[in-house]
Amino acid sequence: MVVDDDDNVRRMMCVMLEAEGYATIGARDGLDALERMRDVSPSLVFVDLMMPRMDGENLIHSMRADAALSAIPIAIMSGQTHAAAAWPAETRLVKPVELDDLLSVADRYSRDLPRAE
Amino acid sequence: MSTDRSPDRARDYLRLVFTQIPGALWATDRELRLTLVHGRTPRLDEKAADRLVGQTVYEFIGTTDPTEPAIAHHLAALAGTRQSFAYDRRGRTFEVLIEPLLEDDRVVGCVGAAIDVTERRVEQVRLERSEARLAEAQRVAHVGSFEWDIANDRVTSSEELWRIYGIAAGTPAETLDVALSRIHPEDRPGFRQALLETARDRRPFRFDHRIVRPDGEVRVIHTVGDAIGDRSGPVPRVVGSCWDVTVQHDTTARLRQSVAMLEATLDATADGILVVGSDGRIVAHNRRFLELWRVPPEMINKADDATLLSSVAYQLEDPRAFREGVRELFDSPEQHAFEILRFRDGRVFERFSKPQVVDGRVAGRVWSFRDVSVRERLLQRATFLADAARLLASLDTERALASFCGIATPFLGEYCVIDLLQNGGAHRIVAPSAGALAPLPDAHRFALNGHSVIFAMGHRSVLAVPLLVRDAVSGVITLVAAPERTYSKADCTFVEELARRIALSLDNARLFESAREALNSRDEFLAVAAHEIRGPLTSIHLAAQGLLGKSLSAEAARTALDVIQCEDRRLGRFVDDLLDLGRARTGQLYLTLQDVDMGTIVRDVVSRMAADCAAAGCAVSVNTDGDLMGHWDAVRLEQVITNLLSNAIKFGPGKPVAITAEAVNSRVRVRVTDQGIGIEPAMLPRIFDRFERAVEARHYGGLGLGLHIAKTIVDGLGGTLVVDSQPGHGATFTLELPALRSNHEDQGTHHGRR
Repeated sequence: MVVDDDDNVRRMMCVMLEAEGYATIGARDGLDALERMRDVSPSLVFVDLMMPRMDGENLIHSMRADAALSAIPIAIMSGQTHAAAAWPAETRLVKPVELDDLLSVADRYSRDLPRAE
Repeated sequence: MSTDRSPDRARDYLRLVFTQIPGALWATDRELRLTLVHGRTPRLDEKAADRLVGQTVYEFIGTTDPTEPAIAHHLAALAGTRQSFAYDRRGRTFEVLIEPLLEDDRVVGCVGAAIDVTERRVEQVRLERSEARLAEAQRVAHVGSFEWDIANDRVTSSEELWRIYGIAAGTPAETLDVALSRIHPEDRPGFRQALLETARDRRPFRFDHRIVRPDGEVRVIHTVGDAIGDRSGPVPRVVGSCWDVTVQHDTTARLRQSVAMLEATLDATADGILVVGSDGRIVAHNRRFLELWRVPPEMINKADDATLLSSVAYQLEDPRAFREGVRELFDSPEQHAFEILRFRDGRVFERFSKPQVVDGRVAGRVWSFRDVSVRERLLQRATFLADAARLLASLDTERALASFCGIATPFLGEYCVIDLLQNGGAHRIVAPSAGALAPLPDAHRFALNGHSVIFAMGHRSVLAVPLLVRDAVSGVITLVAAPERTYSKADCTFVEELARRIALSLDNARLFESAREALNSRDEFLAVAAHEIRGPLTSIHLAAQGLLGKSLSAEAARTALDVIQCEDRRLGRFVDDLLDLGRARTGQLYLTLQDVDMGTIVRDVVSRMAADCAAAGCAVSVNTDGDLMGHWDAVRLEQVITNLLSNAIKFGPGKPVAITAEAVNSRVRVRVTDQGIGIEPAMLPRIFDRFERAVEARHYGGLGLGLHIAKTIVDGLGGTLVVDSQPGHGATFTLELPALRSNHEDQGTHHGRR
């Protein structure tokens, strides 16, 4: 799942992940993400930090507090490297994100998962 | 007496006469043999006289020595010369006359006569001696004397008086006028009057007068005199004694003068002085002492020190300590002391106390008091100002003012209240916080209007001074005096000075706060700008890497290219925004004016942003009404509408946005109404400021420049842009522009007004 309020970023990440065979879901902010996670449980969530309505930090806390979602790995995407370093997330990606980094993170957390060929 | 002329009777009569002569008569022959002796002296009677006849003078005297005076005179008489001399014999003194006895021009003997003058001589000698003694006494005592014989108008003066007059002794008696001519002209009438009154009233007189000596020197003479004579009848004489008192007079005058000068000096000195004898009596004081201690003059003459002390001590802050200190000093007479005395009314004295030493012995104690209230007050104020300045230098205004109020009491008053007017409300700081007088006065309306005021609240004096920050009243400092104190103009001036410093401190704190806010805004802006750039950069980065490195499907490749193009435009707009911001700041926002239809602009913008609106879930309705033509800059107006619409969908996603455009009284009004989160009232005035946003940047991206740029453009076009909003109920931005048409020459490029 890609959570980012920037339409183009979200769109581009989804296109690139799908080109590698992953199934993707886009969410425009934290609330949107939580809502969509009720239907689908993603194997990895990319979270942007600065978003309207519910920002990345709140989304992460909400997920960690929710027994159903707390096990889902999270990759933070942010320009604010120092701030992001303090938050409990498995991986950090610094914007602008390198395509190789994005794909290797996706690869690391989804080996066991079926790929849409 | 009968006149019997018979020869016998005549001889008997002659003999009778001779024998009764008060003295002696005798005759001698040439050998000095006594041929006749008559007379009656204490040692010579008739019988003795008869027995002497026939004796020689030599035998009578008892010597033949021709140099013996009596013998010598007899011999000289025999020689033909008349002899007259005084002769002492057996304790008696005689005046003796011896003449030659002539018979046919031939000396046949001598005739002598002697009269006993012993008594007269003794009297004379005594008189001479007493006069000499008087003169001597007068000379030694420098006392002269005079006697005025009134009937004869004769003044006789003693030798010493002449000496006093500086005139050689021996000037004969003179008239009163002449005698008075030596008296100093100014004293002359008085002296004459004194003499005349003495003569008239038989009363002693005493008179100080000056004389002028022949050499011009002026001396001061003291004369005492009295009338001499019987009780009845006119006074025959006035006598007087005079002595020169110039030296005493000068000394006395000098003494009197120096005492007067001392008194004048004491009275002129700024210090209050009190001299107390060892016995506790008040020996001396000056006027200043009475003033300083507020002692009634009639009291100081009656009181001793103990009474005085107990009647003035109440004025002091600590009367008991004062009294004890005084007692201790009186118990140690030698001790010097210096002390500061504080009065209940705020006055401060310096007290010096030293033993008064007369002829090497302590005779009492000298107290001097100096009113140093002004100096003390200035010093206290300087110290206070320094402390206050140190406190007020803090940028934590709240704490600084609380500390300030703390040190202001009790120095400036019993209570200190500062009312701060900020953000439309009032905030009150009070010291001391505990046990405050209830109720403390409200900020006085004069002070709220910018004027200092001293007023009374019950029995308390109250001083209120405005805190003026850049000519605006931003608070009031109110001081309530302790019960005895009344505020003066000097207090007011001082507190105004303090108020200036407080105001300066408030201003500094506000400037610092706004500077910090500006810095925060700038930091936030930079963070947002970085985010705004990082978004497109990320998209382009991923798209380019995907296109270069991966074999994308045709659809994915198209998407990637679309994204690159889209982000390229977005970055372009962003750069334009930054440039506009710079131009707006420096007033270089260029406007290209032409006839424009607002309806067209609105519809164009809505249609261009349709995708964005749809993505945000916002349905946009457009209503236009009437003639919406104006002479404006079309491109800039599109920018304004775009920014307003972007704002609406950004803060009200998923909610409808309504845009209306209408003509109102030669103006064109455009309203953009959203149903978003709305704006806090406090933020409304600032929403068009640079870098301002009503919400945290973390939730809502964007530079916060849109509204600022829109407002700048509208101002430049001579229009207005205002906002009306309530939190949770959306916002309405209202744009109004003058609908003036061009008259063709007016086309061209204009400077914006800003």
